[in-house]
Amino acid sequence: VNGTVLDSAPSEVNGQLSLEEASGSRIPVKPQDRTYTGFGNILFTGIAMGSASYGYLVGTSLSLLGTTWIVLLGYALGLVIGTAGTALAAGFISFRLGIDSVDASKVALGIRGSSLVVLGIIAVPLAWANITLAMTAVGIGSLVHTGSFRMLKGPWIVPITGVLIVLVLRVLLRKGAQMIERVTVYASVIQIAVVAVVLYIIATKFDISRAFQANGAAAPLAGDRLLQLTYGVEYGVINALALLPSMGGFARLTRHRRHLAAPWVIGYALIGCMLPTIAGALAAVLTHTDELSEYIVGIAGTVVGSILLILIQIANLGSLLVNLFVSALGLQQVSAFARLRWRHVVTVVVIPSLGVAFCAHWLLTQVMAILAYGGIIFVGLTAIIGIDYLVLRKQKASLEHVFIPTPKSKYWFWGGFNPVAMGVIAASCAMYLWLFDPVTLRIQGPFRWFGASIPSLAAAAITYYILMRLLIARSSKGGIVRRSFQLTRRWKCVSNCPCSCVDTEGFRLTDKAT
Amino acid sequence: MAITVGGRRHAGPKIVPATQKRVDRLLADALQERRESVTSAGESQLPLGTVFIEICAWIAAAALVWCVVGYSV
Repeated sequence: VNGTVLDSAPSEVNGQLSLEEASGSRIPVKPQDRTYTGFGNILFTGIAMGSASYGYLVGTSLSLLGTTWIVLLGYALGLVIGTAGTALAAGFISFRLGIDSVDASKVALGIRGSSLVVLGIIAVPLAWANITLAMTAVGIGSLVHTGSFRMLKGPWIVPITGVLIVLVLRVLLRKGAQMIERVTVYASVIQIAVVAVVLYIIATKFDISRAFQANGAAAPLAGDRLLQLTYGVEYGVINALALLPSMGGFARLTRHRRHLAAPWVIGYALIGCMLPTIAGALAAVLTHTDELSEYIVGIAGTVVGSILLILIQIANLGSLLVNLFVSALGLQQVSAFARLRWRHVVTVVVIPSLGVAFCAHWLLTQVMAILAYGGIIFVGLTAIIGIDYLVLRKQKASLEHVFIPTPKSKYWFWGGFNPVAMGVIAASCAMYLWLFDPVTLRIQGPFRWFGASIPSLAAAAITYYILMRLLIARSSKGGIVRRSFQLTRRWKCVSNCPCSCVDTEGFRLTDKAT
Repeated sequence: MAITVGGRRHAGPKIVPATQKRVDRLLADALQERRESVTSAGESQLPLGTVFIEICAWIAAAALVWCVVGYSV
C-alpha cells in the first residue's frame, strides 16, 4: 500500500527479512521506477486507505455532536484542509528525493529525531487496527446472537472471536505484501459497495433530508451551530494529519508531480473517509442507536442487514491487514526489531490485539479520543516538516546526508536531534490540548472559530521558522544555507578557502576560484 | 563517491559504513543516480507550479465554505 510495502515484498514472501532487504526498502525510488503513474490508481489507493469500516463509528460519534449536515460538512472540510496540507508538507520532499516520510523527516527533526515519525507509523495504524478488530469481534458476536447460532450465545463469544481473528491475521500477515495487496483490493471494493447499498437504502426508504437536518442525540454535545461546524472541521483535520507518515511512502512512488494532491483529496478525503462516515451518521440518526449491527439491521431489515454486516466483517479484514502491516514495517525501522525475522515481527505486532479481544466494547467507546489523540503529534510534525523544507531550506535538501547516521551528517544537529523541532512539537501538543480536550470536549480561546489544530499548526510553523533562523541557521548545524554562501558560490569559493563554506547541495567545493 | 556539480567533479561525503557491502553499493548507486536525475531533469527547479496552486486552491475553497457556512448558521 505504501512504498515500503511494495519494496519489501520479496522479503515477506520468503518469510525472512535480511538486513540487505531492509536497507534496500529505503533506497530512493527513481522516477522511472515509480509505480503510481496515473490519477486512477492513486485515487483508488486513497479510497482504499480511507474507506475503513471504522468510518461508520466516526459518523455515529459525529452525529452526537449536533445537526448531522453541519457536522458532516465540517468533517469533510477538515479532511480536505488536512489532506491538502499533509500533501504539501510531506508530499513534496518525498516526491522530490524518492524517500519515505521517516527519512524525509530527518532533515528537520534530526537523524534520530525522525523516530517520532516512526512512532506515529507504529502507533496510529495499530490503534485503528485494534478498533477494527474490536468492531469485527463485536459485529460477529452480534450476528451470532441474532442469527441461527443462538446456542453459541454467551459473554465469551466476543473474546473467542477476537482471538480467532488475531490468529487468522497472523497467518495472513506472514504471507506478506502480495497477499495483503490482494485482500485489500477485494476488501475496499466490498466496503464501498456496502456503503453504496446502505446509502441507497437510506435514500429510498427514509426521508434523507430530514435525517440530515436531525440531531443524533436528544441533547447535542455542541449547543450552537458554529461550534458544531468547528468540531467537525477539527476532527476532519486531525484525521487527515495522521496521514503524514503514509503520505511520504506514496509520494516517493508517484511519478508525476500533478498527482500529489488531487487524487488524495478526492479519493481519501471526499470518497474513502466521507462515504462510510455519512452512512454511519445517517443510519445512527434514523435508528436512534449507536451500535453498527443494530442500525444496519434497522435500516436494511434482518436478512439484507445480516448480509451487509457479514460483508462489512469480511471487508474489515483488508483494513486490519493493511494497518497491522504498516505497523510491522514501522517497527522494522527500530534497530532492535530490524534484524528479526518477519514472522517474529508480525507476532510482536499482533500481541496487543489479543488484549483487545477481551475489552472490545470499551475500545469502541474511545474512537473519537483515539482519533484526536492519535493525530495531535502530527500537528507539530506537519508544521515543522513543511515549513523546514518549503520555506527554511527553499526546497533544497541533501539526499546523501539523510543516509549518514553519524555526526558527519549535516542533519545530525545535537545528538541526532534538532532541539528546536522537539521543543516546538511539544509546545504544539500542549497548545492543542489547551485549546481542545478531545475527551471532555472542553474548549478554550479561538477554538470556536478556528478549531485547535489549525492555530496550533500555524503557531508551530511560525515559532519554528523564527527559532531556526535565530538559533540554528547561525550555527554550523542543520545544513541551512546562509545568505553569505550565495556570494561565495557565485565567486566559486576554493577548496582551501578559510571560511570552509559548503554549497547548497552539501558538498565542499574544491576548485580554485576564477 | 564523486559528485558532479556544475560540470565539475567534486569529492562528496562518504556513504554510511554498513555491515554489508551490497547495501552500500545499492544505496550509493541509487543516491548517485537519483542525484543525477534530479539535477538533469529539471526537478531541481522549485516544484511549486500548478500543484502548489492546486493545493492552495483546495485549502482556500474549504476555508471559504467554512467561513460562509459558519457565518450563515
